[in-house]
Amino acid sequence: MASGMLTGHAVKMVGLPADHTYVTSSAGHIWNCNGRGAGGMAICVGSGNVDQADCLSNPLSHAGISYGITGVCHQMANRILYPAGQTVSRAQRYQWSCFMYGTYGKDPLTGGFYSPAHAPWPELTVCHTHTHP
Amino acid sequence: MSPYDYFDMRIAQIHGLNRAGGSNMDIRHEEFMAMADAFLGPDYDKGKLQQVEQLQLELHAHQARLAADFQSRQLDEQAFVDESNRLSAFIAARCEAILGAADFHKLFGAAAADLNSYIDANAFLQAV
Repeated sequence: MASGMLTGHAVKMVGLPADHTYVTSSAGHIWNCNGRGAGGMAICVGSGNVDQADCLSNPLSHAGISYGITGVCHQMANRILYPAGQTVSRAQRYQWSCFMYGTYGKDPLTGGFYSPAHAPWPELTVCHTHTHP
Repeated sequence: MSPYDYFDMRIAQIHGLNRAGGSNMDIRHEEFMAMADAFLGPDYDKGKLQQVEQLQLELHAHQARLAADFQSRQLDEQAFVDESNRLSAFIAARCEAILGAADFHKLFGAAAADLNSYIDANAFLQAV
């Protein structure tokens, strides 16, 4: 279990209403959440299991979110930040994406909002027990 | 405590981020009420909130229909993004009509007119 710091970042995007968000770790990971993985400002930080965050980011830092269908970059970032108990709630226009997709994204079959405690998304179930050799 | 700190605290309670676990609940409703309590206050007009929640359910039903049409190829990528953004803007405008411009801005952090093009076409095309 590699404990470290997980940081959520927000980047203003020209021509778009909402901030793009992405996540980095103190171990050097950059999870770009289907967009830019640099610039902007840090909006949340917390300590957590970096290996679990890396597992949760799969595939391709999309963290199991289908962009525009089950969430946007905010939900991808929240899933990766889950081991640190942080969310990107300070991103501009975040509340509207929460209204549309929830904190952790929507189940594509039922439309219900995922929740770590009550309705974990499939990747979380896999990554709960994940450790690197 | 700022509204954002209060919102974060309520979200942490809902999702067990404090490792305390939780009971069965309607996550969508609980998240909505956390947001409403944080940004509009706990004594806000419950009738208006119920109307906005009804629109949220309507939004989700239409989103599901659009996703199904996209997956069955009845909508191509650009049409899906355009229709999704049109739907988001339409629901936002109706929520704003219920809450009023000032309270809509408090709740969602923006005017309804500033929530156009919420889904980025480039990001969508990159993801599919």
